[in-house]
Amino acid sequence: MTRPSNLAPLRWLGGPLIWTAHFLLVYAAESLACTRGGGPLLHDAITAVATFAALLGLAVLFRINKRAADAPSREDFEMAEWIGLGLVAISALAVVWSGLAALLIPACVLPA
Amino acid sequence: MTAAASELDRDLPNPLPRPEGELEQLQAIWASPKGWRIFSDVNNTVIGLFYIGTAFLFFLMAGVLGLLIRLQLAVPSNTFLDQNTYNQVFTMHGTVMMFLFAVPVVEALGVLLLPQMLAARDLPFPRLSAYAFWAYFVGGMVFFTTLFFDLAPQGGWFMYPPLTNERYSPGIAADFWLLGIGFIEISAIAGAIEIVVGVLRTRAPGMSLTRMPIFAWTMLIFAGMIIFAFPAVILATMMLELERAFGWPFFNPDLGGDALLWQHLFWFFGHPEVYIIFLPAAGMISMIVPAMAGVPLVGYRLIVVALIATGFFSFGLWVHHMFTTGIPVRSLGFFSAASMAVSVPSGIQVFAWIATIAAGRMKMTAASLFVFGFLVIFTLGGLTGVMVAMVPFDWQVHDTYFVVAHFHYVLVGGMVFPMFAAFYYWMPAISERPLSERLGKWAFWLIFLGFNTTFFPMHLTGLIGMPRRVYTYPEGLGWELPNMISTLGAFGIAAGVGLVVVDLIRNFRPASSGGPGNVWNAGTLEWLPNDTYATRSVPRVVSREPLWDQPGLSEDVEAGRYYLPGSATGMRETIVTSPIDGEPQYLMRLPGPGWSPVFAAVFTAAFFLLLTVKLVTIAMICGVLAIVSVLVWMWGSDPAPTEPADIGGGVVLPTYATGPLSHSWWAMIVLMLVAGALFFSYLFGYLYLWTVSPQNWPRLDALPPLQTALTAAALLLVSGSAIPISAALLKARRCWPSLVVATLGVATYVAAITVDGWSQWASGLRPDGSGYAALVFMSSVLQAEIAIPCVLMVGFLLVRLAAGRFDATRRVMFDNLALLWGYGIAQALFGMLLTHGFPRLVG
Repeated sequence: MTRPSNLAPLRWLGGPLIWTAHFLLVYAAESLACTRGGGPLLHDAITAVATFAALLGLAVLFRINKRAADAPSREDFEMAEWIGLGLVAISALAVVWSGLAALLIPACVLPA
Repeated sequence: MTAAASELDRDLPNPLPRPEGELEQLQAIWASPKGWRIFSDVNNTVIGLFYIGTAFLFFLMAGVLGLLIRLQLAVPSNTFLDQNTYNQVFTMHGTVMMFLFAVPVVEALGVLLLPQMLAARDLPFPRLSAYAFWAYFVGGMVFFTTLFFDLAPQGGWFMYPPLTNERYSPGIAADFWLLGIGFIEISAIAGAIEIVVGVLRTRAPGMSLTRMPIFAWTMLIFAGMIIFAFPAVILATMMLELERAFGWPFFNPDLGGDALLWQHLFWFFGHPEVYIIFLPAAGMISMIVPAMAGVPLVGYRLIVVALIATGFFSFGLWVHHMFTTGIPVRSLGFFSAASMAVSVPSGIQVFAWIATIAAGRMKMTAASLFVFGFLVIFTLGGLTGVMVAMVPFDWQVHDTYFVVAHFHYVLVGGMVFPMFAAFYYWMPAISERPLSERLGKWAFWLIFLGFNTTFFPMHLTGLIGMPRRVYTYPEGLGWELPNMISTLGAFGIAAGVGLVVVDLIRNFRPASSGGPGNVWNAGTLEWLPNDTYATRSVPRVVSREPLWDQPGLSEDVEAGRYYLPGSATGMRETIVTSPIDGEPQYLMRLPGPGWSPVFAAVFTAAFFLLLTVKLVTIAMICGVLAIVSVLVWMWGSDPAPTEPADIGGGVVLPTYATGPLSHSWWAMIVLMLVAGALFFSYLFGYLYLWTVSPQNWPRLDALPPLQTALTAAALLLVSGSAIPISAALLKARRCWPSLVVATLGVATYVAAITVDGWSQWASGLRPDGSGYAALVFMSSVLQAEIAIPCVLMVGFLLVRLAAGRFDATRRVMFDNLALLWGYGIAQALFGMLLTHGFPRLVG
């Protein structure tokens, strides 16, 4: 029987934290790329790389959390691990959703 | 004694019969002061009721303002209110509802219910709760009275500049908003710190994170969101006040500022605010539905996932309030997608409630009706939310009554209906008699029908073009009928709310020793027999619904068979447990009644409000008195360790803890997160202004010499190296040398940030010169905001050492100083890297 370590909550919150990093990077990068040089292509590249990296990170985290969830432990601890897994899944959905929106719409274009 | 009882006795921590006088001692220790001295009480059962009562009063007063708005708009070209008064009324309606009702009432419910739900005797910082309440009460009341003196702000609840700058809003009305609300937010943060530490550290033994009631989860996330969201608006209000008072042009585009910076900062707070209000309300629904349906909540872990996800995602939506401000289309799409994504976790919760209702047999009580009302109205608000998340649609309806309809469906549906449900549901736990079911059902139907009559037509009013915030409109635009219907509906809501008030007057009688009890047969711990000391003994729980799963729990708890059936130290006390699995770690002693939090709050409010009316000298005196009151309050804190206490079942707990074990350490960490969020908001502002006004960033030759910056950085590193030295000396029980080193270290830290600020001034930079300059000096303000408390803390420690109240063991305050001081140095180094390094990088 295993008990979560004191740092386990960071692992459980890893999904939303990766989403946060992806979100901030993609948003801030557009302002910088469009106003301070680099242009749309640079932002396209940043968005694609950030989205791919975020999904990769989420996949790794999913694997780590799944291993912890599968280990024998008290029912309530196991549930906490499953919450961590759920957070990774919903964060992946949000990263794909926002990342796709950013990739499909042209960068550095002001509304008409 | 039966064989079964005897068996139970062997399993439970404490045997029967309990020693004579044990209960009487517990009652005496936790007794509330009598008469007018009740205002000095700090117990959550008293402060929680004060808090809820005040928040509800603000709800009623803001509701009256809403009726005035509706009366004015009932017919075209109405002269009931003039334009000036109307502007004040709608600004105060929104401001009071959002800042003085919605957040405080949720915090109040947390203060009142959380200890009972977690089987703690009180929250970990009762005087902080008292301070938060009194600051809110005094500040809120004074702020509200500005309406009667024609001094209320007129800029709408979000106070956009340039409308609210000195030029377009002269006088002090806007200052009342900025200083009054800014300081009420500090009160909210104080409450949030209390709730975070309370939920994580004062749960019943055995109550691991996933055995917590959903309400506790929602309050934890609510408090976490306050910690990260409120600093943004605190920074914004500080900046706008500095612009108004001293001409620091953060938002003035003529001098390199940008009015849109306010919108970014405000909505970085303002959008999470919606969820800050909604999530605890959702938590209440998640408590009421299983009790009324008689089955456990369906999808507990999915709901926790949804709550946490909502808490995070809601920070990514702020730009959807700014779709019409000329933001690039990719950002629009990005935020539009994020706005739609947040509906996924919200939807999970709605389906979980519906599934729970379907799985059980829902009792049709007044509380249940309000739950159904919530489901209908909030879902409709969510659907129109998805509509306005679509950029093209938002462009059409922005600033129209469609948006007014949308957010009232979200906020009233998502928060007010659950609040009334909570009143009818939890009243038997806190009042000698429950509220009337008959009156409650009448009230529900009046409010439900009144609400829909008022706000549903507003969708149409908005779609046919009526803008928000107009004080009147001409005939012939097709707006007359929907406006008249809305006004009639508003009086239906008022009648329903009036019935609730009548019900409260007739039936609500605060019960010092519990009310009628578990009338709903609910499964959670707040339904255990309660008194001012909470439960007689503290149960060990093994499930999420202990009252359903642990037969005889109420009787055993009441008989004193569980932990801590009396007072182990002769003081008020509660068990501190580990954050993940809820195992007992130590016994925390709690303070009793006292006036210092009340005085501290009153003088803090006076400081801010007197500054508004430019009575600077008296304001400063009040500021000093506020600090003195806090020092008096802190003087009794950190009591000396005593012998370990036996709480029963062979569990012997220390009565003192330091470092990460201590609840105080946790509070300081949370406070540092608040400071970090404030600085992050500042960083955002700095980079944002750079992207819009890079021409204001100085040339290399205009910057302060690099040597000065390096000197200041070196001083900071020297100061930082004093922290481990001071700690090591203390560990070696050399208290005076330790504090001497700490004093010198803090002095060096202050010297460093002074050198840094002075170097900017000496380079010719003036804060009123440009947006850039204002931001540079704002960094100094933020550094001083950390350094000043460090100076006070080290001075206070010196006095305590002289008085024998500080030593190598009794060192919690030193640990807190070390944390804040270390954080301050890190923030100052980062600030200098930004203000000295960034211009060199981009120059």
